[in-house]
Amino acid sequence: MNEELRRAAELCDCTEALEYLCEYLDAEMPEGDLARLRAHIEGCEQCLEALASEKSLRVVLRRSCAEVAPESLRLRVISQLTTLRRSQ
Amino acid sequence: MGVLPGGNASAPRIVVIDVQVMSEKPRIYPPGPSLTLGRGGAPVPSAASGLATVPDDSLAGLRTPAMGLGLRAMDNHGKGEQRHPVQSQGRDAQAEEDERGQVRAPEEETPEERDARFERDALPFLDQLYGAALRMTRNPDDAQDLVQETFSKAYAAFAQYRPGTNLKAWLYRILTNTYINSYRKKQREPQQSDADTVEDWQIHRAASHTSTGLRSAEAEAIDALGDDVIKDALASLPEERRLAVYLADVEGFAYKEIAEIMETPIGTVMSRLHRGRAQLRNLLADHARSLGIKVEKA
Repeated sequence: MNEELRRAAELCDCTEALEYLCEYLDAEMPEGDLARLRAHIEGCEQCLEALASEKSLRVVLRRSCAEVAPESLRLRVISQLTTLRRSQ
Repeated sequence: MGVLPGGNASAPRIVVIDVQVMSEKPRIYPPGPSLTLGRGGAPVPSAASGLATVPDDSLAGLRTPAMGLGLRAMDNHGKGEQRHPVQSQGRDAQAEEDERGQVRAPEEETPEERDARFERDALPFLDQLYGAALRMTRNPDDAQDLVQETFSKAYAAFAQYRPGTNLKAWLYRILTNTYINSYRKKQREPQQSDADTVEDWQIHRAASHTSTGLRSAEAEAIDALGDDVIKDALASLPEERRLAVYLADVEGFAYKEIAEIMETPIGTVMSRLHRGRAQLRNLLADHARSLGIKVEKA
């Protein structure tokens, strides 16, 4: 970690890091702020735990919500497209 | 603070709100330029003040110039550190390209070629759209009908879709509009007043993360729950939160894209995400506890 980033990390505390954890995880903040929060979080056990918890929620969501459309739906959509095409 | 469009369905959908909302706090991360600004920064006039009022057959809104531009890569589900924030430069560059006509569908494209392009590019989203439709309707029959109607509308409007922009987001917007206009009414889900006012969330958010408790134990407990439990918990969230969480956490859409898909200000998207995720985590932690999985009370 370079000197500038280390100083920046010191300017970021747990309150800020936890408050903006979602935006951090979503990468929905400017690069400089991301780097600043990252510098703090990587050196803070509490924030790392909170981050892991936040991540785990997304992981289980993605895992459990993955769906495969029934083959009958695929056929319905394709046959509908054929019909629409003919009627043009 | 002034009246925020986010909490008021009848307010105009002109969104400079993000800066305003955030300005109360010294440390803020404005989510970037609003999607509702058109080319050259002019607000896109819109009669629609919310999804519920978008005419069923109106596909005009799907051509919003900013749709899919400058948005993060769709395949990047890595989240967090690896992802790059939205760059507005990309959007400007693409808009210029658009003005030179370079990203539009080639004029010489035949209907047959366009059909082929639709099947090649849009059909692969069938599984994902079905998954989203299931989360929306919570019913496989309605979900299938919704997906079929979505593809029908997308096909009809495909000439308006600009190649090179975000096709997935474009399809999700049609899906969402169709759901709101056709299925939600049918399902008679009580219209939820949007309780997720941005002001409340701003007050709430600071406190929400300070009590971390034993977060790692909670994470492990949630991880151990079955898929059906997770899906049921998601299904029990109020519709707008459920959709925002799904779009962000399952589909990996950026806030700007979700704002565009749900036709709502980014501040409202963030509010729904925060509340939805917190509610979901509480539900799942409660469930884990009821199963005897050890979770410290936060």
